[in-house]
Parts: sequence; structure tokens; C-alpha cells
Amino acid sequence: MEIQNYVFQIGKRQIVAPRNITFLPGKLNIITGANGSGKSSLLDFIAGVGSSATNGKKIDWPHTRTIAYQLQKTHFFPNLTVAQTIRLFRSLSYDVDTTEQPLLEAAKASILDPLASTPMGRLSGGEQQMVLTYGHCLLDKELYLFDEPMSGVDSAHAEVMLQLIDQLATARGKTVVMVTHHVEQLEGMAFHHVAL
Amino acid sequence: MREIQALIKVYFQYLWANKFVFIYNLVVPTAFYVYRQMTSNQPILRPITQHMFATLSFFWSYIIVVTLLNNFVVTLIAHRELGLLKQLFFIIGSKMKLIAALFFVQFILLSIELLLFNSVVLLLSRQFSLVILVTGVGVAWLSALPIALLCSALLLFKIKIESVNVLTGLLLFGLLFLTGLPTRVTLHAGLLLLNPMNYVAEVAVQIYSIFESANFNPSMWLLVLAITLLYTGIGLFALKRLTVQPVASRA
Repeated sequence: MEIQNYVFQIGKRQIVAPRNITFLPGKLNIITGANGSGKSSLLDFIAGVGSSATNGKKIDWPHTRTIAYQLQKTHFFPNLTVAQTIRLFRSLSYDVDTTEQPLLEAAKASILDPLASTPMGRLSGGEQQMVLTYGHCLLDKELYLFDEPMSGVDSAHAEVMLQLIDQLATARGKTVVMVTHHVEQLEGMAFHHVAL
Repeated sequence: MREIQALIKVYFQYLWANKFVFIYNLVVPTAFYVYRQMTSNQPILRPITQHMFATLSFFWSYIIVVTLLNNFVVTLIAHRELGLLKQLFFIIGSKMKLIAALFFVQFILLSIELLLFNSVVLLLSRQFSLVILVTGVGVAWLSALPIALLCSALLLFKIKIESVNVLTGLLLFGLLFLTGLPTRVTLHAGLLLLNPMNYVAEVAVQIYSIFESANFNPSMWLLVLAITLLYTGIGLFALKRLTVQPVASRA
């Protein structure tokens, strides 16, 4: 999967000079860069909802319908409880393979079950991210995009959630593209690195 | 289909958690109708006449337009500006499935609201009229989609979430004001129907005319059909251009 001549320019200010960007299919790909370097804009472009400020030619790209995209900040139905939110994702999910089950179950038991009856609107930012990350890992898509999914998540929980994300590539062979500021959290995981 | 069913369930839960909307959509017009009847010089216990029906049809208009404006279009604008529309789009995989699920929930809600409102009206006049009940629900079924589509034109504008309620309030005030214009300044029937309030009331009158065959007016039906096509065209244009990205702010 490649973007040829990717460019991100707002007015006369060029944020990303024309360059080719490659992502490895079926692997965990990460995007890093300073604040304002265009990481989220690149994810939007990858997802097919980029603004006119971004441009480039996509080669071997999946259809937008087959892309899952967890945003950096969302006001997910604040009145839905965590259990109801997960039920929504589960109703759209694939039949979970048994090799993945232990990790999903462990994450559910340790992170989601204690929050099950709490409305999404009453969760902290980090807790909301964990619920949505878990939910997105249940979906059956070709390409998974995560925009700083660990922002606000404590290190112990972040480790579990990152394993879930990594499992999408290692166990299910899905392509994952994740924006992160914390490469050190990915210790021991194989990934392809795109620096902006 | 599985995605639409899942979303319908979520939107019903969302609606149930936001019960305040029922006050605006249903309780206020019902209370106003009851107040009007109580303070009217006419006896409360009187058969439903054509004049009464005309009054009733404007209450139905209010319920339908307010419900679709607040629960359908404002919800879509709020979801778009908060990033939820984009998030849901990438979960479900289709913008139209989201819109269909949201509309279906409002459609069911409208049918229930009109049934409840008409039940109060009939209880108040202590009579039973199947025609009123059927016409009420029929109006919702026939006019909900064109009205939702017309209201979708608001999605074309860059409306900030902070100002959406003020804007819809002003819009409703304007539409109600136009509805109440005296006959001598009113325009041609076709132009009047461009006001969704008048449109719904006219649909009600036309459905009622099926039961009262003496008043059946085929040319009016054709005019209503033409306006329906216009509303549909405007709505499809707006929905086709609907972007899942926030347009007034960065989410």
C-alpha cells in the first residue's frame, strides 16, 4: 500500500513536502511526528475523508467501507452505557477466533466489566478511548486506523490495549495504521515506522 | 441490514435517554391544544368539524416539523460537528445507513406522538373517530420523508453546534409566522406549500378528503406531489453533499 507524492499544504504553508509513503499490508504501521505535523490529516487522507489541503495518489487501497477508524477525540453517544456501546460493536463484529479470545476476554474482564453500567459521558477520556479501542478491535474490516488511541490511558492498561491492536495484524493479518507519540510503549512489537 | 438494525436500537436508547425532547415535540402542543379548547367559546363536547380539523392539522404540522427538525436534522448537525458522524461512518461503513436508521426511529416516534396527541384530542371531545386516528398517522407516513429531506437542506450550511438551537428556533418562528398570515396577503397555493408547515397541513386535508369524498381535489393532490418531488430533490442534493467531517469546527 503506497501513497505517491503525498503532500499536505495549508495556503502557502507546506506542512508535508511531496513524498512517497508506504504501509505494509497485514502489519502494524505507526506514524509519529511533532504536534501539527499532519498525522491526523494523513489518517483522514488514508481513510478517504481528507481535506482539500491533502493530496496524493493511493496505490492498492481498500474501499472506505472496509476501513475502521478510531478518532483521537469523539463524543460517542454519552448516554449509552459501556455495556450498550460494546453491544453495538459486538452486533457488527465477526465471529471471534478462539486464538484471540483470551486477550479479548482478559481486556473485557479487567477494563470493561467494572465500567459496564457507566454511561460513556461519565468516563474519563482515557476510559472512553479504551472502550472504543476494544470495540474497534471487534470489527471485521480490512484496514484499521487508530489516532492516538492511548492518549490519556495509564501505562498498565495501555499495554493490554496495544496488545489487542497488535493482535489485529499478528493473529488476523489485518493492516493497522496507528498514530502515536509513544513509540517506547511498542517495545517487543514488530512495526513499520512512518515519521512525519 | 444488520448495521441498520444495530443503529436503530442505539438511536432508540439515545432517544429514551433524552426524554426532554418529548416536552417540546408533544407535551407543549398537546397542552396548548387543551388550553385552547378549555378557553374557547365553543363547547368542548362537539363533533369534529372540518373547521376543527383544519386547526388540528396545524398541530400535526407543528409536531411533525419540530420532531424532524430537532431530532433528525439537529442531531445530524450535532453528530457531524462533534465527530460522531465520522466515527459512526467508519464503524458502519455507510452514511446512508446512518441516515436511514436515524430517520426510521423518528418516523416511529412521530407515529406514536400523533397517536397520543389525537387520543388526547378525542378524549377531550369524548368521542371516537377512526378517521382522525388514521389521518393523523397517515400524515406522518406520507409527509415525514419529504419534510426530513427538506430540513436536510440545513446540512449544507456551516452551522456551529452552539448556534444550531437558536437557528432552528428562529426558523420555526418564521415558519409559524408565515402560516398565520391573513388570507389577503397569502400567495398562490403552490407557493404556500413551500412552507413545510402548510405542506403537512395540506397533506392532512387531502387525506381527510379521501374519507370526505365530496371535497376530493385531484389538482391539489398533483400540486402536493409536485412539491413533494421538489422537497425530495432538495433533500437528496443536501444528503449527497453531506460530509462526515465537521464543517464549522475541527473535531
